Amino acid sequence: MSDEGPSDVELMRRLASGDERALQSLYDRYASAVMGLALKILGEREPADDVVQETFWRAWSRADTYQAERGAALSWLFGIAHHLSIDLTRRRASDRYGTNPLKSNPEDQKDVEEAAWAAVRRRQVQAALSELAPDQRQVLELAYFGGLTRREIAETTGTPLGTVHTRARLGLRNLRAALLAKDFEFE
Amino acid sequence: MDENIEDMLPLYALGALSDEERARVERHVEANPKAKEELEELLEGAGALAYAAPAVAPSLQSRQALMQRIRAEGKRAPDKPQTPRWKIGVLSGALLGRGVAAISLVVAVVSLGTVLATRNELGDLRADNVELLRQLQDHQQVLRLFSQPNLISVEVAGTEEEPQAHGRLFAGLDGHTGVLLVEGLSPLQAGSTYQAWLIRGGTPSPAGLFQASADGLGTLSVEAADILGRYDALAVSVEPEFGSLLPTGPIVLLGAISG
Repeated sequence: MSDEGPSDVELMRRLASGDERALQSLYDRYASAVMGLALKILGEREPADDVVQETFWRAWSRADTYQAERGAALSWLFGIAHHLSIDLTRRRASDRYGTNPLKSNPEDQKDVEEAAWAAVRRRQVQAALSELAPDQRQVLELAYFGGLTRREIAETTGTPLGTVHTRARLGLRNLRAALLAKDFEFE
Repeated sequence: MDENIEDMLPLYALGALSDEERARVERHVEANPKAKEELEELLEGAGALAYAAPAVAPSLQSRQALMQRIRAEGKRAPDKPQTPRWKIGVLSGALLGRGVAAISLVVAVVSLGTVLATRNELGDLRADNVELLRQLQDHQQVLRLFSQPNLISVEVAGTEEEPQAHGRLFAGLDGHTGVLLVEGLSPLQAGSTYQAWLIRGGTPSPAGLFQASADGLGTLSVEAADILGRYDALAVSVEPEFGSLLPTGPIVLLGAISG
């Protein structure tokens, strides 16, 4: 992470005490990463913007529940944003999967150091994903980015539920092993 | 209901269970330390997936709306279930807090009105700036590439979808980045993009998005997960606006990198 400015832990501590500037700093540091995840799941800027806003609102209002020993601030924010995005995806029942649940966008980097760090991690995860068997990767993507339930994945891919379970387990295990081999820092 | 609940752990980690199934898994994990340990490992893998998403700047309005909401709703929210504000936001855009008084609303609206035009212009300028910077970075990368001793040049040819299209990928053989220059591509309709793919062992990996200009030219800084020389081929497909993680549209360009 950046050598300059307060650490994530310090920002979260200040956030819990109601320091608005800490929230602004946290937003500037991670809003683009959170937006990227929300946009990948939702595929539209407007709801993704709203997810970003709601994610940081929850970070602000529940900062005292953050536990540094359980993960980095960005992982915590990702968890909130993923939950919100999937929830919204499932509410949009008529436009769920098939239009485009797996989306990305050209980068608009603000903080060079943070962006460089994010690029390294993205490269590691994408490389690890590319090493997975396509059917395992498909299940991970449909679940995590597509917001499909296990039964919907089985229907979409035309595979038995048990096969979906197996592919998900193998996919996550192999992904983790591939990331460990690349010295990925789990947070 | 006779399913082995352990089978659901990876789907729990991926968020692919119903509320009832989630509750069952959580009860099971609470009572089984070994299952909890396995779930934590699965959650690590699932959590890493979030890092695969490219960063994208949220709108300027999003930041401002967040700050307005915090000022309107007070220092800290009480521990009660929050109304998902984004559900409203989808319809109405920037939000004002529930507790805001009418007079504050008027002041806020007036203030917003005075800055809105400026902010929109700033947003447009910022978008233009981002695009210009992207082009500049592409050009700088071309210059850097041509100074490398191990430069490779890969020819990509149009498929039957775009037979008139052709281009070249310039890259350092031992590097992760390169530049793809293409001509003869058809400009796409709104809502679509060209997406490059690096293929190895039959598996495509996303390598970047680009648009073709009105005269059919396209450039892309290719960012590869692995060393470029280790891939078998480069392809370009037509994808929805924000791209895909696997090709979903027609392949319009293809070229062998090695072998």
